Amino acid sequence: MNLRVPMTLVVFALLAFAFHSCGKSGGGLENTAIVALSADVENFNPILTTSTVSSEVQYCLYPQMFDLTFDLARGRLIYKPGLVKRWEMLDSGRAIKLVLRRDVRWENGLIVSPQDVKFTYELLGDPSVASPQKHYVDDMIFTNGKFDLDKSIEILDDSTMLFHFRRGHPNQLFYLTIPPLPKYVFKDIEPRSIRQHPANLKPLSGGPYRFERWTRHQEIVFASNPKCTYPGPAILDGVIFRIITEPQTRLMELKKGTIDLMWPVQPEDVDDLKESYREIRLETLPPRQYEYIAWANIDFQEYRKSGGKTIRPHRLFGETRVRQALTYAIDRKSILDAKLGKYGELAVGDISPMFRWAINTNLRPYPYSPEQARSLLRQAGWQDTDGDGVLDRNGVKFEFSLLYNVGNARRAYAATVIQENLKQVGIVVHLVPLEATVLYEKMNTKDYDAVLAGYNVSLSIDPADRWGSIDNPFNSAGFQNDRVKELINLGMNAIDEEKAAYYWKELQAILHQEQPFTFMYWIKDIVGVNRRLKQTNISTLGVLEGIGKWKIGDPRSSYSMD
Amino acid sequence: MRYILRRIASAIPLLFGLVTVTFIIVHLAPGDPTALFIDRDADPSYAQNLKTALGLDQPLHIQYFRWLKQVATGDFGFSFTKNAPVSDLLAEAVPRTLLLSGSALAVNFLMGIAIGIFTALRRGTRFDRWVNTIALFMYSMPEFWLGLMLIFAFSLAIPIFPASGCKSPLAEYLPWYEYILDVLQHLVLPVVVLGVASAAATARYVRGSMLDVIQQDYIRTARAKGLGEISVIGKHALRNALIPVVTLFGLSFPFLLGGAVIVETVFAWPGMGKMTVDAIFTRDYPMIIATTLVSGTMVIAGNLLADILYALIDPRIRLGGEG
Amino acid sequence: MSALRHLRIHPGDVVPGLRHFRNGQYRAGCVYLALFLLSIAVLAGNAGKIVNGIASLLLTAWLLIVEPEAAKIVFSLEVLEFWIAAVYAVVLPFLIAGISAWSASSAAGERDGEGMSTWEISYQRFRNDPVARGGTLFLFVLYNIAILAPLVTPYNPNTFQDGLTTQFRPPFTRLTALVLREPRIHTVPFAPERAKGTHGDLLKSLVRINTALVEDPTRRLIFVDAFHVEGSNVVATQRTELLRVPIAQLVSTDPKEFATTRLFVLGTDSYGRDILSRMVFGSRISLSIGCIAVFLSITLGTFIGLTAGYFGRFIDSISMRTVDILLAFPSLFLILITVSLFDTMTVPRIFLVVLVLGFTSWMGVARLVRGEVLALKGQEFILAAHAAGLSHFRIIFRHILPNVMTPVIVNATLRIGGMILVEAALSFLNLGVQPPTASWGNIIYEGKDYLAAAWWISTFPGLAIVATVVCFNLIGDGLRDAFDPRLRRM
Repeated sequence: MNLRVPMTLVVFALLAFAFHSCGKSGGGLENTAIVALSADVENFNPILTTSTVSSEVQYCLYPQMFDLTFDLARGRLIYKPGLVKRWEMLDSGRAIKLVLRRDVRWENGLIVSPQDVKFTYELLGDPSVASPQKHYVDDMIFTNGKFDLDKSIEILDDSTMLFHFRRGHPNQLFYLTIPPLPKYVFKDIEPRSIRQHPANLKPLSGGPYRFERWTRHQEIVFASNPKCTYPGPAILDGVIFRIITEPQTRLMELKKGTIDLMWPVQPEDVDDLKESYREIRLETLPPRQYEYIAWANIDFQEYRKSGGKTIRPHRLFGETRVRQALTYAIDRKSILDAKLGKYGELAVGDISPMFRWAINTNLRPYPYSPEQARSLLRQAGWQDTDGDGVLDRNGVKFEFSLLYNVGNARRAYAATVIQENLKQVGIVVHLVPLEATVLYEKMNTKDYDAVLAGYNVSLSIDPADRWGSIDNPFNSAGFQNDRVKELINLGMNAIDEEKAAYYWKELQAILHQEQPFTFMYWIKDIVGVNRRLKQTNISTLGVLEGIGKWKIGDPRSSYSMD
Repeated sequence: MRYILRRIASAIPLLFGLVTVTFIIVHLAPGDPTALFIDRDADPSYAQNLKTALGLDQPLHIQYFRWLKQVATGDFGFSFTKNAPVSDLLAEAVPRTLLLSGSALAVNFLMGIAIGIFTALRRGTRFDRWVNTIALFMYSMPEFWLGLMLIFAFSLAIPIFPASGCKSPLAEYLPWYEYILDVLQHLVLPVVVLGVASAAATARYVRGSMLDVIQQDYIRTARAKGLGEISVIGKHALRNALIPVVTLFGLSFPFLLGGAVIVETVFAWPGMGKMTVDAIFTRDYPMIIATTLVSGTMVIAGNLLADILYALIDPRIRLGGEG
Repeated sequence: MSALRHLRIHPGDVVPGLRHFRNGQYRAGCVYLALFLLSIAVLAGNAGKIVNGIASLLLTAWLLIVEPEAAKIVFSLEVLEFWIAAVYAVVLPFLIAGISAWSASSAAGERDGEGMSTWEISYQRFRNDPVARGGTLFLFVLYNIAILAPLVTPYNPNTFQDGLTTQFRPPFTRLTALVLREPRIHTVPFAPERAKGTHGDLLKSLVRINTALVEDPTRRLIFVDAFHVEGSNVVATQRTELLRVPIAQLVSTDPKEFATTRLFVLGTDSYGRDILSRMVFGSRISLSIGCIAVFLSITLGTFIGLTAGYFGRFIDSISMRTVDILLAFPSLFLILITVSLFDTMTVPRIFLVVLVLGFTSWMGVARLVRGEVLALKGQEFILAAHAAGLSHFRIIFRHILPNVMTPVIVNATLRIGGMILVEAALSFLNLGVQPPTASWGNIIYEGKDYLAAAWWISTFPGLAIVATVVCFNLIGDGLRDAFDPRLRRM
């Protein structure tokens, strides 16, 4: 009987502790930002990573070659000195001379040298590394079909280096933006086993933060790097990245205040956040990614079999008016309304609306019109001659599989809408959600009729990937058009934007007419930030681009700013 | 002792078969694991190089023997998708799964046995019927759905328990007791799904076994001798009633791991189950083989353990057991 | 005299349940009567569709005789669903009447157990188990609803429209809809090229019937949040969007007639599809996959168990070692690995799932059967059969198999529930049937991202799974008790 009171107290104390531990009260963390990542990073090596999350986190660890900004008003990338102090275009852009700063140091005190930069490109160009970023060397010098490191990159002295390119165009500087790796760490390993190198998982930092700890699928902990000389040690004591794959949980943690920053916020959650969570600030990024359906314009199977000789129109999508009809038949607006609202816009082509100067404003997105679609299909000879509700022509039914990747709610939603819309005009679509691995393999080998996918555009316009040679892996439609090829060449080599814009606009008009893809919509990512986090400077370049300058303020004082 | 040794010896070919079957299944499947980390830009020679680097271009039997040799030396290979040695990843994940399934197992049996005995003694009462009904429903419930409902109720509607993960982000910075409490808090919902749900089934089983025993002659004799009820139940009945429960205990191992796959996925518990699901989706061969091997080993060990415990408790098995 | 009385048809015998009332079994009587009335209601409520469905079936059959090519083309799965539902709707009242009559007469003729076969005794015992009976009734209703799905669901499970208005509506939402004169999207017109053949008219009318059959009536509706009349237009809002519909396009000029409301009993999902309709159609997957997979697994398990037990020696040891190895896999691991790795686009996922479930769960049955066979082998009647020189084949099928079947069937019933759970788990990991086909697990999967905003999407299918599995388990328990009194519940 006497024990009951103390026991109750103990239980209450335990409960109190339990609930207490929910909050963020631990010592020494007041000046640490907590960021939620939607996926785990692959590793910390910029030349071995493919995911956006991985490259965002790398802003913490590597000195950037240039201080980049994207001028939204003019729609162009602006280069300011970074690790590269000065640069000079030589030989009408076919060579670039870089002068590096001499005072930028790795964590261990070694200077970030031209050797490091050259070594990074050596790895990039080495086939046995199989770097996903190897296209950075594509325009440099090749001998016998192999990347020629020494001819491409010359080191003139301990701060000066010279890059050589096969052709000159104003965008070459872009291919020098990859951050350098410390040669000292990696030099002794055979390139083919670089993926197994421990430094990929425990990097030597040269950026504002240094690596502390990484618990897979849970968290990454960085502390301010006091040895950082450029751009200087982070203002925060540290940053903790929490890996939270569930969008719901991520949002909940942001609301609870247990994380300071997360993205992407789902558009459907925006209203609630704005109304009930005044301590959270939302930032919208410019549209850098779009979704599309790639239709196989040519018979890929035949093309593969003949080793690239036979180019025959695809049995279904080989005709322009059929592709136009498909675009008419798909209610893209309804998907946009349901899933993106004002955080998206219907796409006309694949040049981002960010690049204002290059956009052909005369083109309007195709409206949703099943009637128009049906009449175009009828003109092309597609009719329901047998009464089963499915179009057919010469005994072939209009029936195909649409591939897309699992794990993306918006894409799954879009796929279902597409299937339903096309059924209304008499087309049978089989939905094939695939794991990313399997989908990429199919896209690599062009083994599909139609694929629904998304694409993050680069900060410079380069349509050659998509609309150039059929063999180009990103030419997912197998699109072939001589005028387009010509325009790409003219545009890439144009001396200024005005000239380039002229060619890009014509290119867009052709693509709009031909509809090799059905361009769905541009997506603006939303970043949710707790107001206590200041100076986030979130930009087109990356959410974490300015992470070294982030500051934590008093949450209460910020309310008045609203 | 001989019996135990024989049982252990018979488990070895099982393990071997397990490894082989997994290896065969995984390598028969279509799909190319290199596609994930090669940019679509890469020319085919890059893919080929990568395959060489990862040893994927060698004939199957060579890959198999190479892998067997590695396993024997405790090296499970290198995870393609996570860029880390599989053994490191396992070392991180296994303890977490053991924490989860161990707690669940404890809850399962402690609760199950207690309720089972209680209902057996009060059989036919309303309480007994309720427990029986609840057990039936628990047994018939999809774990993932129960998990989702608990998340909805206790993480979203009334936010008292975290919905995912195995600890709060900054838990390491807390004093040790708070850290433990934090982990316990994360454990609650998954353990309820894994443990409480199966406790209902255990209770039913214990109840049946207890009822069998209570009706035996020697219990009647004990009662007739005038022993107290507590002594009768506690000393005589319980011991015998729990013998079959030991078997159940061993056989619960695979169930908890199999169940943990789903529960870990629902609660984003970063253990073996979630890792296996991830590995399966990304075709991470060494990872799949390793997780299957580890969990298969646990199943075999569980069975072995059950047999051995059984033999220790019930000498009849040792004498008459022919395998 | 008594024989004559049996021959005479009592007016009450035509309507199911009445005889039970006469026998004093009021509860059973009510159930049969209710079931019968419900089936009549389905029949009456869908008279048009059922007539069309049967007409379509007959016409297709006729066409199949006179012009097989044309029949093959017109055939579609959607129409097949209607055929089955229509024919079944007609048969159902008779089926219920038949079961009722049989049950009433067997109840009346219930004897004390003397002179009954063991099967009869077991059946009698099962009948007297109220819990198992309840479970059977529930599942009977569930399976009937599944078969009649196209007739009893309020909406098409896969179509959706007016997403802004219809998506994420909680249970019991009533939505306003404008009724159009013509469907918003016409079905694809039939270009009767083939209709020029000898049986052109036949083909044409068949297509007309089929089109009417599969037409989705909601296509004549526009769901709106609110509307008002503005001159010759109706101005409606759909959340953020403003919509103008000329009154001329509506069925009537009177707002009372051109506007209607539609009820969504269990709410709608992220697309605006009716959850109830999806659950009814989804039940077909869950209910059939469980049974088919169990059938596969007991067939395989019985075969292997029989051969292993009967022939013994190395056949026995090989198959039992295989069983041991396969049992060492945590079952879900094995299923997950095989389903995900062998998933190709060529085979529909549903077949793969059934096959994998069947082929990964036979081990327990094999062990069970083997044990039974070993026990039987030593018994006198088998030894006698051997002595009589009967072939192995004959011994196995005439003497052993029938004796093994009882435990296998009991075991199978208990397994179906488990199978349904595994199928749901696979769907939940997105490895089940492919969208837009609904299955219970897959609806839960689709709803899991919207738990906070729309709890009803995931909740109801889960309840359906629980109820179904509970019933299968109850029936399994009932069967076990009935067939094997040794294991009778205390």
